[in-house]
Amino acid sequence: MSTQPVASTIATRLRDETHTAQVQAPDLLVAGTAELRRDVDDLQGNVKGLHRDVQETQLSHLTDELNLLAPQGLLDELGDSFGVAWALVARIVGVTPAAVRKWRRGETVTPSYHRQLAEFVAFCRLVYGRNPRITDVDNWLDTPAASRADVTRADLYIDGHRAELLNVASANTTGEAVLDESDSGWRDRAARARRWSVVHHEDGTTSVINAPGVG
Amino acid sequence: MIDLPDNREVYPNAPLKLVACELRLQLAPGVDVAAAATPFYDDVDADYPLQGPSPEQGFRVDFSASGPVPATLSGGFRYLTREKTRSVTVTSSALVVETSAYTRFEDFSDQIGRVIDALGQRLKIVSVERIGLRYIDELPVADLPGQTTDGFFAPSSLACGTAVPGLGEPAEFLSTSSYPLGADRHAVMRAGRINQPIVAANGPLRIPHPSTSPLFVIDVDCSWTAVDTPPLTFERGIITEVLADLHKPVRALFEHTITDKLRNNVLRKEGTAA
Repeated sequence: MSTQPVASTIATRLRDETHTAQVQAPDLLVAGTAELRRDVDDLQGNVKGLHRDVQETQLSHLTDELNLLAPQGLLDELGDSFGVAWALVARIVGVTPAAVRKWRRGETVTPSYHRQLAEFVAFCRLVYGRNPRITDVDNWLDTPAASRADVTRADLYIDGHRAELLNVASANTTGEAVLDESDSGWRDRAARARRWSVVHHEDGTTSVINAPGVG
Repeated sequence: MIDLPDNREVYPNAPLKLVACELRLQLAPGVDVAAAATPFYDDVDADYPLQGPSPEQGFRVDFSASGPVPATLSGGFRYLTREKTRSVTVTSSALVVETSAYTRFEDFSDQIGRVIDALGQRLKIVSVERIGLRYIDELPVADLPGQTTDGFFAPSSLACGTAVPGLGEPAEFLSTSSYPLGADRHAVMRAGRINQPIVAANGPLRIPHPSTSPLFVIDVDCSWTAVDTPPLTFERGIITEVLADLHKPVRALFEHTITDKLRNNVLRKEGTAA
């Protein structure tokens, strides 16, 4: 590991030089801009990490509050306020749809599943808070995370990328960017899943058609 | 007050390629630099009749979802002498006077003083935050007898260029030394053998004898910055006095870097190329 902070401090101090448009010092400039680029990349990475941490903290605090509510109330909010289907609730929490039906009828929910329900409600509230136009959270979550991706936003939620999904909801990042960071193979799978083919017509003309599943 | 001996030696074949003086300024709120361009030109056009390219003031970095996006910022104005060997550049944050045809400090200081007098009439400048005086000497290796740096520079200046077992000599090297001059003043000297000239032959100024590569560079940058001392007022007498102080170590640092072999075989030779 290099001693970057010390080197950066020294370079910054010495870099405050008398400026003139006549000085090119390409090597120094390259070194300087490379250092600046690294600093900016580091800063951006730090800010992104900090923002993710804060969002996770916000989600955790809201989850703590909601965990005090009865499971039936949480299920009602998911269904009534956010339009989430019970099948999706079951998938998110990791149980069968039959188990969710039993919970709705008042059967006991273990503390672990209770907290997962609370966290899902907290997440739905934050998504709506980030973007009030997302009124149908069920549909939003069941949509592929990116065009042609075989991964839905619900999959990303289950995989733990909740803060990133909140950024997607607020349009501060894209599903492609989240997938690029979390699932490096998604583009290859998407390319394999969709093929284009050329069709030769009787009149001599040709068309390019989308043939899902071909090849 | 300038305190220099009139009979100090001026090398007929000095390798000085560029001298620049930069004053970092704090303008009064709302001052429009562009509005001062024409009135200032009317004051200095006898010395600086040519308009030069607009100065770049730096760059801004915006952040987007795809990463940082840099953008160049420009503004202010630049005027040059008819020979294009001296210029004055004014931006919202600095005044720069630079020359590629330096003769003596007294002359350069006087030129800066006249620019300060003129600009002070046209722009409301609250304070001066930094004063820098920079001398860049370049000695192409091809212009040295024997096409080698051996014996022409002090061993201390060549220390970074010594061979490392298993690696050999560095392709280029540049050492940086910082000397405190007292009261927020520093001299920073960069010296070494490099593969590209520092002074651009295609910049706003015309460089009478552009350097070839490789070359040995001696870049002395003396500065005062308002850190522990208060900012200065934008007045000719005050600023030229600081400049005179900043100029004092320049010659000593240059002389410390070279040897008599360079003085006698290159610098004191009339009409050679260095």
